[in-house]
Amino acid sequence: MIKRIFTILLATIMICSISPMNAFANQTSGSIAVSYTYSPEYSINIPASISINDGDKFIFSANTMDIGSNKNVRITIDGAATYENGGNFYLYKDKGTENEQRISCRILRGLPSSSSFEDITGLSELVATFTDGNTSPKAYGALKFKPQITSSTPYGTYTGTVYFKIELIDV
Amino acid sequence: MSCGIALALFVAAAIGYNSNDVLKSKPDDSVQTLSDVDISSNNSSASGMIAIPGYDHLVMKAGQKVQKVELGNPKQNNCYMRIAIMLPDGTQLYESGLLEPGQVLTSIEISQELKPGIYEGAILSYSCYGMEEIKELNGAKTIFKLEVEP
Repeated sequence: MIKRIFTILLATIMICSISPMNAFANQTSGSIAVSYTYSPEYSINIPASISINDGDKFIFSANTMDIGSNKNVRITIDGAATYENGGNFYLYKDKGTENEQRISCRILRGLPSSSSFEDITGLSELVATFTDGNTSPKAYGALKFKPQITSSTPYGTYTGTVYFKIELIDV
Repeated sequence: MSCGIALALFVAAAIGYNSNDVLKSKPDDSVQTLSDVDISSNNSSASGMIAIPGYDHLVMKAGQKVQKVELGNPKQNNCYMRIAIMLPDGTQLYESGLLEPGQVLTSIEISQELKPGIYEGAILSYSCYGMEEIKELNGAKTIFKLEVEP
């Protein structure tokens, strides 16, 4: 008799375990508000540093470009942070030391597939444009850097920092 | 015989209990912690490049300095990042420390409480630094719309 009771008890435990307990718990109804904001996002690859050798060019690309068909992403050079003396870009050697040397460097823009590049002279010149869903640039998209070396330029490694301004604009 | 049936039922009960537990735990398993979130959906960035995330707008709450955000250094980057937020007039609201690749900020304390409104032309600045040697790399400023809710 005891064994039978034990068996029935275990069977009851099994049934209760398999049944979803939440079904018993949800005796009252309720609601939650679900909201989701879908907004434009993008991710652009910029050069970490610039290797300046003849023929080298940097091509902008994007990882994601989910911005909607009525917007473009525009990349310009942030002239206020990049240029000195009203529009010159300099590369430095031993910056901040008494041996500091600097050379002027031209920045040129062009199409990734082209060998024809033009000088960037303004403080906020366009260097690339991206459209919705495209990870390759639509306008321009490639940069070249040309250091202005003279016979008196000391040998050594010169580095500079370029700042870009990236913004979503209405088409 | 009865003992055998009892044992079988006990095992079945145990299995039933555990399977219920598994079903309950499934949704939790799919939740990513913020530190795991890759804020860029693509890891194709080659070394030598820096992925810069950009947004149309960010939302903050008026009248409080602590703000919930989700900003960070994309996982695929090979550099440290310092993120700063500025109002359109250049007033700096926040500057982070150096963020490692994959590190995400979820809560920040800004320098001043904001009034409700939309601030067009706010700036999210990314300053980047090498990981082997802390030297400054190229950087970017992204422009966004700061929406401050009451």
